[in-house]
Amino acid sequence: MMSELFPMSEPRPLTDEERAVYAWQLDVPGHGEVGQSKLAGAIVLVSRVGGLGSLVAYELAAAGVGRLVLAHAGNVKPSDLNRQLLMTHAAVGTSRVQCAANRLRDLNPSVEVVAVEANVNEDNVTELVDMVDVVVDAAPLFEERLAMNDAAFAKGIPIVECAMYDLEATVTTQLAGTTASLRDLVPEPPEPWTRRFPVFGAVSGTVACLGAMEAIKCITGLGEPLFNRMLYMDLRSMKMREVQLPTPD
Amino acid sequence: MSCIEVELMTQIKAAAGCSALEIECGAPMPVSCVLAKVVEQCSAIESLLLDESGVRRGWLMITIDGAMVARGSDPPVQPGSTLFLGTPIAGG
Repeated sequence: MMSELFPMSEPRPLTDEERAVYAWQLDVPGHGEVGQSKLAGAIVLVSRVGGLGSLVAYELAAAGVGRLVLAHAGNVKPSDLNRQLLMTHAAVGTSRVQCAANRLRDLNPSVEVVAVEANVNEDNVTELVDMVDVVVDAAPLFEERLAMNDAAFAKGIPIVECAMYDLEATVTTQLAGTTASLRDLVPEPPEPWTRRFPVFGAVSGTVACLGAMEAIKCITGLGEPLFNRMLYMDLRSMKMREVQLPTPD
Repeated sequence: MSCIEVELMTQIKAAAGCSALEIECGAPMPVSCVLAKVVEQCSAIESLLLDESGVRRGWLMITIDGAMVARGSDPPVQPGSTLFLGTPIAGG
């Protein structure tokens, strides 16, 4: 049972309004009101809310996750708008994470959004991860990813690792005691990696939806998360492969 | 002569300018030898695969027929196998 692998916030009973909003996903076999109540009680950290994290947060808000903690510094720039779908032209020059939070509140007023105007770093990572049940890693720098992954492993909660480059993308889900950590897989970040990378929004959006589904599965116990497996996608050739990852020592 | 198919991913593919290479082999060949053959065919990716001493980069992700090779190990690659070479990515 996945619920025995890590601690989760208590499920929250649904209101009649929520039953109406989520009627179609309540029909998903194995989900139902029990699973939806788990989503309503859950807290997820998404870092950052760029091309990938925006869509993760959007899907989790739409699905009815109770509280989203979004961490991202800086203001909306014109060059964000090809992929960061929670950002708007009107918001250029204003806080990126506040823009994202406002869009999510419009989408689903019952979701509580905590907007953190900072990127995850060594100083805030423990506090942020301690606030949540599941982490979705959508950060563009290995230092941030490793800090978040270390903190998630220390707390014993799942972390969904989503990443993309050009038309390629990977997603895997990691959990202390069950899978290898990101640091096990990436002991040495690649030197050539740079903050700016080639990206279509449709690529970051594809992996974002898969990452959001992984978070939903971790919270609800539905299906099988990508533990010890990495899904690798090349959208240039439309080839998708599953890679078996080394298991923890 | 049989071949090992080497598929290139992420930044390695971008640096190579191609997505796959073929390495001829008549018998199983350790991963380290396959990497040396790859570098012979495509020197543009040498610095992504090997350090200045010719040692495999710590960031290099290698899978053989869909299973990731553990760091520090040098298993044989069978003729007819497919090897993936990639760097970790962090784009968000």
